[in-house]
Amino acid sequence: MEEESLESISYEQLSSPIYIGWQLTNRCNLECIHCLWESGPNATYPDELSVDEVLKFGKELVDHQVLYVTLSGGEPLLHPAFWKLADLLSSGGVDVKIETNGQLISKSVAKRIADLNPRSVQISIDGASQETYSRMRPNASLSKALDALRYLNEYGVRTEVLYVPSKFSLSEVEKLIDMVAGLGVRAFYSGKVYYMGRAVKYWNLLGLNEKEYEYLKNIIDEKAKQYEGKMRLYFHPRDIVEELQIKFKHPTGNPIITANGKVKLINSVPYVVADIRKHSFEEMWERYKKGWKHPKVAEYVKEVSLNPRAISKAELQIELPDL
Amino acid sequence: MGVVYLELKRRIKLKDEKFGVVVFDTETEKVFVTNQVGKEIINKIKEGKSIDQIIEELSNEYEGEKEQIRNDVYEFIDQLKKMDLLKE
Repeated sequence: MEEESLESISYEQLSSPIYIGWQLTNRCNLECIHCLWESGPNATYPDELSVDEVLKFGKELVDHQVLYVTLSGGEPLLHPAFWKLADLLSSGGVDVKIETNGQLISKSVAKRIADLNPRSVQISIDGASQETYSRMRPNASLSKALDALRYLNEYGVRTEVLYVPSKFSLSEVEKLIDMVAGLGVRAFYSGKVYYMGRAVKYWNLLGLNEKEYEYLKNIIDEKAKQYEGKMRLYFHPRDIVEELQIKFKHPTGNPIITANGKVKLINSVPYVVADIRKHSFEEMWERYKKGWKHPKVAEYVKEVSLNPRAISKAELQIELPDL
Repeated sequence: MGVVYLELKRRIKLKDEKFGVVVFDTETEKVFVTNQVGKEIINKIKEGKSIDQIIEELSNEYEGEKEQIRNDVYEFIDQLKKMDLLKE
């Protein structure tokens, strides 16, 4: 019998990706002040993928044994193909994570999500009081987001909370962590705010200094000990530029599919390496791998390393030439 | 010692590649590679077979000393434990 072993691998060895991030739509029921994509009720891209195109690509993910897909937006539940796609992926053996604001998850919707047996549902909550929460997410309801977590947990869905910090919500972090732990949430994530999209306009409220990040990190570390074994708490220490520098040296091999079918290396790079309307799945994967080695990408990483605020152009979609 | 059953973590996914089989725990997002025999062991664990059943079946399927196959299976299970792919 041949000896078995488990060892680490490089994504370049894979015949197709094992993990994909898919921004289903740029439409959202909210207009959060930190939103990287400036999503909102009127922010649908004019050329977003149709239901048929979404389902066709979903089938390709199943056929190519992609193992894990994150569905985000905008608000992914607003896309008319969301339920059919999520069902197609789940029944095809793909683990699905849903990233949502939770506003549309009533008890019956939670049950429908549970029936999909998703890997998890991540809900963004940025304050422990309605006043603070809606400063970040105008017109959104904190109680709806908390109810969504409650319902999902009742139906046995693994839930996670993403907290995007702001100068005005830091004082509520401890309370927020205790609140969501009490609801059975399994993971709580936070990190540095990205200087992108709508956040640029609100940087006076969102641009925390190192001392404020240190304060947040200490609270998360302390609470991580308190909730060990029940809820995982994690503060991501790198900012968007540091993260990009690391990913550039060691790409992780998970393409980002935007709502109009363009394929990006990572959210923090404006370059488009493929278009699922034009390229086959195999072509997309080869172009993705080549894209990381393109001189334009190297130039861009150098540029944002020297001028971190240049990262704000990552929101654009610029076709990478000569791939 | 009684019959020992193992249980894999809920979110372990497998994918066939030319160079082996990719094992992906989507919950922790950790990725590893094993070979076809490793895949068979993982699938037999998923099917709810005991360690002794797995050894018996592999012994019937592959040439080699049963004792050696037993050692290999236990070694592989140790690796699964180290990689945190098994339930406590």
